[in-house]
Amino acid sequence: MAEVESSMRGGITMLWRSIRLHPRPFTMGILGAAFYAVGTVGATRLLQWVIDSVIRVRFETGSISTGTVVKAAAAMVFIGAFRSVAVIVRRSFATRGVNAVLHTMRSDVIEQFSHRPIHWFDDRDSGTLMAHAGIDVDAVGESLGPLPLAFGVLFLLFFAAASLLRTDPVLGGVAVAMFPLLMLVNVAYQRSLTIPMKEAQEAVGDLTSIVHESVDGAVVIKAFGAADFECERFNTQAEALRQAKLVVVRLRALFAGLSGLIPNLASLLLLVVGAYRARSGDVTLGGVSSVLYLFTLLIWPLGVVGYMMGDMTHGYSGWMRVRGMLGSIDPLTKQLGVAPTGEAVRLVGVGFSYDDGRDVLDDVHLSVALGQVVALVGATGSGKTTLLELMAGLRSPDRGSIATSNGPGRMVFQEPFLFAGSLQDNVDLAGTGSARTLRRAMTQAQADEFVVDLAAGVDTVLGERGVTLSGGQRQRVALARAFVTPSALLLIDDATSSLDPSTEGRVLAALPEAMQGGSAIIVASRPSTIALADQVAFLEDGRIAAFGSHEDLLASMPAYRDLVEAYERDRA
Amino acid sequence: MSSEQDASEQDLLGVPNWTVGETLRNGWRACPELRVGAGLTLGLAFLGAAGRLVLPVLLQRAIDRGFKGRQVDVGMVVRLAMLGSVIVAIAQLATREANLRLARQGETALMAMRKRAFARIHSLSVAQQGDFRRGVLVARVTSDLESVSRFFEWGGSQWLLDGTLMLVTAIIMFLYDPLLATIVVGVSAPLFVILRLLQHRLLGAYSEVRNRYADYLSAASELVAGAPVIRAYGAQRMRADRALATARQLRNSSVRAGSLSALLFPAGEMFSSVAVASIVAVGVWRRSSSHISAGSLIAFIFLAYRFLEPIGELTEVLDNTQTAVAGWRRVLGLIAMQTSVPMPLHGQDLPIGPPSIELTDVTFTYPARPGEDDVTEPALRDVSFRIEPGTHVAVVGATGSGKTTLARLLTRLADPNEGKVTVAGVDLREVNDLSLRHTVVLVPQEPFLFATTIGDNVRLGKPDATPDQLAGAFVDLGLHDWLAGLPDGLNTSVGERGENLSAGERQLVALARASVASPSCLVLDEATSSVDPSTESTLAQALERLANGRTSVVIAHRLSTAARADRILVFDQGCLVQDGCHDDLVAEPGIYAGLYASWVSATSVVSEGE
Repeated sequence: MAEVESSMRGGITMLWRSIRLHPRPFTMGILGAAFYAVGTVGATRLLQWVIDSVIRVRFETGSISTGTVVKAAAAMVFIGAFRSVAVIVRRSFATRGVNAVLHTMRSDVIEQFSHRPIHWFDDRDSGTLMAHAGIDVDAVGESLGPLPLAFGVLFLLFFAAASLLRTDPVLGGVAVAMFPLLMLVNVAYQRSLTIPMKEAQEAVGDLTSIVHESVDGAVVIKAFGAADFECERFNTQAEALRQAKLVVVRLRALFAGLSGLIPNLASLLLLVVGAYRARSGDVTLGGVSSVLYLFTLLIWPLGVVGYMMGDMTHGYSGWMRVRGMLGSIDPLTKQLGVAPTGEAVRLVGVGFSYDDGRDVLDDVHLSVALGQVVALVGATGSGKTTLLELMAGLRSPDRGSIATSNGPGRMVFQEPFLFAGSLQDNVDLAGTGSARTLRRAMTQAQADEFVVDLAAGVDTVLGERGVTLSGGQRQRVALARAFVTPSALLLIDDATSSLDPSTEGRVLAALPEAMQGGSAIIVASRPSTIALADQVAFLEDGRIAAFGSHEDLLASMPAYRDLVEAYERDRA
Repeated sequence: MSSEQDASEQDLLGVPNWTVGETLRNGWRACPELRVGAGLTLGLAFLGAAGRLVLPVLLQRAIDRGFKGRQVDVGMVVRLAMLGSVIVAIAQLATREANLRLARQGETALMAMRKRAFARIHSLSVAQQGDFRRGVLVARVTSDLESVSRFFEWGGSQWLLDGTLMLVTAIIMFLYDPLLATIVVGVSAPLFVILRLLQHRLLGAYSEVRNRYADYLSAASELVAGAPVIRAYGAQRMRADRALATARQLRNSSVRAGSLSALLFPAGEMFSSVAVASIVAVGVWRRSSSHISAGSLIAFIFLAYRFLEPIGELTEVLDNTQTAVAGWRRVLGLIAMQTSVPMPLHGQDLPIGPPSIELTDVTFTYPARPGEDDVTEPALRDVSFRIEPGTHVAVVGATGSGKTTLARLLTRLADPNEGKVTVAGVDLREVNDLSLRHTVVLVPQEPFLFATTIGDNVRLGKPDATPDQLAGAFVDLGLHDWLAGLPDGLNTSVGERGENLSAGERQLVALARASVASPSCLVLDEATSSVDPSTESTLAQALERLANGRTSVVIAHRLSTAARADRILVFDQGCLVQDGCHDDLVAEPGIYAGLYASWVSATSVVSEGE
C-alpha cells in the first residue's frame, strides 16, 4: 500500500512537472474541461426546468406558450453546443500538451543516444534502450492523455455535488456518497488488471520472438524436417497466450458486469429516496429526474478518473525509467596527445579493461611512422578491436597514453553498419564531402563497380524499404566512408574479409592513395593482406609481443608462425 | 516513393481480394470454434440489453403511477425499485456471460487459427517463404491475429451488446410513440453519415501517425546500433538532428490526428441535444397528445440518450472492425496458400545406405517477385550429372552461378521447372518427406542457431537424442576439446541467433547437428564469412569426418575444400562448365584454374619477393 501511495505521489509529481514544462496547452485544456463541467451541470438544471416548467405545466394545465417551448428547445440545443465546444477545446489542447511533453522526452532520449560515449552502451542492452525511446515514453502519454479531463471531472464533481445538494440535501447527499464507490470500482479494476495485462503482453512478446526465430531459421527447420517440432514449441506458447488472455477476459467481463450493475442499483436507490423526499414535499418530480440524470452523466467521468488513478503507476514507471537514463553527457573521451613529428600514432604503456572486469590490453607500446601500413595480427579475442577503438578516440585507456599526429584515427569496423537512407548519405556520414571526393573514395574502395549497376546510383536508398547490399558490398561502402575525408590514421578492422581475394587486392592496392600521406593499421588474418603491410604488429595476451617485418616475425615468433600458417596447412 | 509502393505490394502477398462479407463468410467457415453456442451468446446479449432498459421504463411507471402531484405512492415506487433491482441483476449476469462467451470463443478460435497459420508457414517452400518480407510472415501470426483478438475483446462485444441495446431501445421507443421515435432515428441518420466521413479522414491521420512512429523508432534504433560508427565519424550532431526531425514529424502528425478526433468526439453529444430538444418541442406542442403522459415523455428522453450514446462510439467500433477484418483476411489468405513443393500422397521411402544422386536436364527459374515485372533468368540451365554412392563432390563457381540453387534442388527445398532430380534412383517428388529428411540433410550457408543451449540446437537434428549421443556427435567430429573448453559444455547458451559464439563456432554446431541426424547423404553450403585460421582448420577436419561414409555434395567457397573432394563440378551462370578431379582441373585452362591461382596468391605465407 505504501508503494501504491508513493507511486501515486510520484504520479502527481509527473503531472505537475509536465504542466510546468508546457503550461499553455495544459491550462487551455483544463479551462475547456471546466467549461464542460459547467455545461454539464447546466444541462441537468435545464432539464429540471424543462420537466417542471414546461412538460408538467403542459400536461397538468393542458396548455403552454409557444415562446416557452421555443426557449426550452433553443436552450437545450445551445447547452449541447456549449458542451461540444468545451470538449473540442479540452481534447485538442490536451493532445497538444501531451504531445509536447512526449516530444520533449523523445528529444532528450535522442540527445542521450547521440552523445553518450560508447562505453555507456557496453552495459546497456539495446532492447532496453529502445524501450525507453518507445514504450516508456508512450506509457507517459497514456497516463497524461486524460489529464485535462480528470481536472474537468474534479470541477464537475464539485459543481455537481453543489447542484445535487441544492436540489435536495438528503437525495443529493445519497448521490454524492456514491461518488467514491464508483471511482473505487474503477481503481480496483485497473489495479487488478495491471499484472494480468502485463502477463498477456509478455505472452504476446514471447510468441512473437518464437515466430521471429522460427521464420528466420525456416530453411534449417525444413532441412532437418523439424517443422513438427517447431509447431509443438509454438503451440505450447499459443496455448499459454490464450490462458493469459482468458484471465484478462474474465476480469473484463466481471468489471463490465459490476460497472453496469452498481450505477443502475444506485439509480434505483435514488428513485426510492426521491419518492420519500417527494412525499414530504422536499423535492419536485423535476428535482428527482434531474438528480437521476446528473448521476447518469457522472458515471462515465468517475470511471475515467478511477481508471486514470489506477493507470498512473504504469505511466510513472515509464517516466522514471526515461529520467533514470538522462544525465549529463560527459565528454566523449580524454583528449589524445600529439605524436612526435613523423609519427602517425604513438602508444606508451597503454592498458585497458572493460567495466565487467575483462582485462584486454596491458602495457601496449607501439609507434607507427607516417606513410606506413601496419598489419595487426592476433588470435580471436586478443584485443585487436579494442586497440583500434582506443586509437580512434572511442574509448579512453585506463593506463598509459596515446598520441596521434592529427586527432583521432578513422576506424572502419569489422561489421559494416549502414543507415537507412541514400548511399551518398552513408558514405558522406558527416555531410562534409564534395561530389568529387565522394567519387574518388568510392573508386578507391572498389564500390563504384556495383554502384554503376544501381538504377539511382549514389542516390539509391538502402535498408528495409530499399536495396539490400551483400556483405562484400556493405564493406566497400564502409571503406569508402573512411576514405572520403582525409585522415592521418586509418584503422581498418578486418573490413575486407567478405571481399573476394581479387577485389580485396584492388582495395589494398588503392590504400596508399587513400592514406594521402598518412598511415594505416589493418587487422588482418589472410596472408595476402599481411604481405601488403610494411610492418606487422603481433598482439598476444594483451600486449604487442613482436613488431617487425613479416619475414622477421615468421623466423622469430613460433606463435605468429602457427597462427599465420593455419591457412597454408589447410591448403596442403 | 516508388520503393514504398513496392514494399506495400510485397506486404499484400497472398492476401485474397475478398470483400468484408466474403471475409466474414470464409472466416466463419474456417473457424468452427466460433460457431459453438453462438446462438446462446446472442440470446444472452438480448436478455442483457432488455434488462439495461428497465430503468427508463421503471422511471416512467414510477413517475406516472407513483408521483401524482403531492401524492406520492412510496410503496409502489419501492416495489418497482425492488423488481428493477432483480431485473438489473439478471441483465448484468447475462451481459457478463455473453461478453465472456464471446471473448472465450474468440480466443479459442484465434489459437486454432494461429496454429494453422504457423504450420502453414513451415509447409510453404523456401522460395515462397523468401518472397515475403521478413516481418510480414511474423505479422501474420502475431499482430494480424492480435487485431482480430482486439475485436473479440472490444469491438465484437460492442456490436453484440450495443447493437442489441440499440435495437431493443428502438423497438421500445416505437412502442411508446412512433412519431417521437422517428424523430430520434431521423436525427441519428445524418449523424452516422457525418461520422463515417470524418472517420475516413481520421483513419488516414492515424495511419500517418503509425508511419511516423516507425520512422522515429528506426532513427532511434540506428543511434543505438550505429553508436560506434557515428562517433568514429563525428556524425553525432547530424544523426541526432535527423532523429529529432522524425520526432518532430511524429509530434505534428499526432497533434493533427488528435485534433481531428477532438472534433469528431462530441458529435454524438451535439446530435443528442438536438434530438432531445426536438422530442421536447414536438411532445409538448402536439395537440393530440392524449396517448402520451409526462412520465412517458421523460422516459423517452432517457431512452433517446440510450439510443444515441453508442453511435458516438460506433465509429471507433467500425475502425476496430475494419482492422480486424483486414487482419483476418490476411491470415485466412496465408492459411489458404498452397505450397509449391507438395508432398506426395503415398511417398516412397529411400533405401538405407549412401545413395546415388542424378540430375537429368534440370532447369530452374525463380518466379518473379511481386513488384518486379521482368522475367528472371534461369538460375540453372539444362544441368545433368550423376554422383555415385559414397562420392565426395565439391561444387564451385562465382556468386550467382547457381550453386545455392543446386543445393536447394538436391534437398527438395524447391522442385525443378524442367527435368528431374533423383536420389537412389527415385524422383524426389515421389519421396516421402520424412524419409527424405532422414536421408538427405542440408547444412545451409547461415548455420541458424536458436536462442537456447548448444545441446538443444544440436538436438534439432534428432529430437530424441540422448545427451550422450549429442556429446558423441562432437567427439565423432573431433570437436571434443572445443566443447570441453566451453563454460557449460552442451548446456552453454548460444544467445540470440548464436551471437555468443563466433561465426566459425556456429558452423561447428551446425556440423554437429548434421552429424547427430546421421543422414546417408549430406549437402553442405559452405559459409562465406571469415573465420580465424585455427577455427578454419578445425572446421575442415570436422567436415571431412562428417562426410566420411556418406555421399556428400559441398557448395565450396574455400578452394581448399574443393581440392580435397573426389570430384569437382564447376558452374558458371547456371551451367555446368567443368567436371573432374582437382589435379585435372588445375591443369586444364578454364574457370577453375583461374579461381585456384588467385586463391593461392591470397593465402600464401611466402611473400611475393621470395
